[in-house]
Amino acid sequence: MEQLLTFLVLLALGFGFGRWAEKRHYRSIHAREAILRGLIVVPDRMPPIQYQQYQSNLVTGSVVVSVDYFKTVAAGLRSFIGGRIGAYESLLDRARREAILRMQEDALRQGAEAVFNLKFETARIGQNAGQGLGSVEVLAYGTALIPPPDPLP
Amino acid sequence: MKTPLPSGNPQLPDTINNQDTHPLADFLWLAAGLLGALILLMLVLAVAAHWLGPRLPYQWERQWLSDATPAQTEANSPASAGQQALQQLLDKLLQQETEPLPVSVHWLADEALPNAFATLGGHIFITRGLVQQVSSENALAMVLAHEYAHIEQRHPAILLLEQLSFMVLATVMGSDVTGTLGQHTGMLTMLAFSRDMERDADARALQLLQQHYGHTGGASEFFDNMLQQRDEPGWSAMFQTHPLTAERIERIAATQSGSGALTPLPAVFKTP
Repeated sequence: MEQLLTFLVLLALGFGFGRWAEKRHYRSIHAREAILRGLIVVPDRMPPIQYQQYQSNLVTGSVVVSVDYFKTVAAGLRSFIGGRIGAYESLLDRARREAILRMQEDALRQGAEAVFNLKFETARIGQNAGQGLGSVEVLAYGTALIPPPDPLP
Repeated sequence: MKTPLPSGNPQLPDTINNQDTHPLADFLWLAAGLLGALILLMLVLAVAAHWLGPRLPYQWERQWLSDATPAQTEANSPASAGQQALQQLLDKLLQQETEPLPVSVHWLADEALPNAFATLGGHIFITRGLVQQVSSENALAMVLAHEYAHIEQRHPAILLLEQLSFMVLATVMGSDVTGTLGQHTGMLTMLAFSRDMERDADARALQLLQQHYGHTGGASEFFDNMLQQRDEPGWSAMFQTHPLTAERIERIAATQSGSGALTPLPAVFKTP
C-alpha cells in the first residue's frame, strides 16, 4: 500500500511540475523566437557571395533536459503497446528549439547577421540512471557570419 | 549571382514535432487498458491453476517436498505423544475412506496461539493453543478434517501454481511500475486459501465427521470460542481469506444432523 502511495505521489508531482514547466517553457520559446526571427539560421554549408568578407565564428547552444517521473511512466506504459511517445516528443521539441535559441543568442552577442551550417548533436546523460530516469543533451552549433569592422576613414 | 536568403526564420506550428493531445488522457487510456489486460490474464492463470492443481499426482507433491519436511520430534517426548495422538485421530477419521491420502500431522507444542494449517506436501500443523481451546475430540477432529480436506482437494498445489504463475507474470512485465501494480492486484487472491476453498473444506470436514461419529455435534466449538474472543465487523468479510467465523458457525449449524455424545479429548491433551 505504501509503495502504491509513493508511486501515486511521485506520479502526481511529476505531472504537476512537468506540465507547469512545459507551459512556461513554451511561452518563453515563442517570445524569444519572435524576437530572434530576423537572425536567420540555415543549414546551407556555403554562405552566398555577399558574405565573402565576413568573419566566421563557431556558435553553440546546448541544453540538458531531464524527464520527469510521469513521462517515464507514460513511456513505460507505451512500451507495451508501441506508438508515439507524446511525453518525450514535447520534451525533445523544447530541447531542440531552446538549443537553437541559445545558439542565436550567442551569435547575436558576437554581432552576427546570420548562422550557417546548422547542426545538431544529442547525447544521453546518466545512462538510464535508476529506473530509466535520465536526461538528454541537445547541442546546436553553426557558423556565425559577422560583418567585418568598417574600413578606416 | 546572388542566392536569395530568407528575411527571417519560418514560424512553424508547435504540433509538427509535438503531439497536440493532453498527456493525461493518453496516460489514463493506456493505464486502464493495460490494467484490464493484466487482470484478465491473472484470472486466466488462476482458472488454469484451479484446473491443473487437482490433476497433479499427489505423489509428486509429497516426494518433491520430502527433503523440506520439518524434523520429526524425538520419540517418547511429550511432543511426540501429542503428534501420535493427532495422527491416530486423523487415521480414525479416515478409516471409512477407500483411498485416504498419506498425510503427516505435526504437533506444535510450544505455540500458544490457536492455529492450524495445511501445507504443500501433505503436512498438517496443529498448535497447542488450539487444542487448549477445545473440550471434545469432535471439535479437534473438525479442525483436523478441515485441514485434511484442504490437502485432499489439493488447495496447496493450486496456491503454488497460482503464485508461481503470478510471479512469472510480474517478472515478464519487468518494469518497476507494472510489477508493483501486478503485486497489488494479485494480493487479494494470493494471501492464503480463498474463502471458497475454506467453505469447501468445511463441507468436506463435516462429511468426514458425520461418517465417523454419526453426527456433527461439537464441530463448531472451536469457532464459537474464537468468536467470543474477537469482534469482527461485517465489512471485514471482503478482505478476509477465511469466511467470517459467525458465517461458518451458521453454516455448520445448518448442516448439523442429529446430536450425539461428544467424545472426550485424547488423554495426552488433558491439561494437568
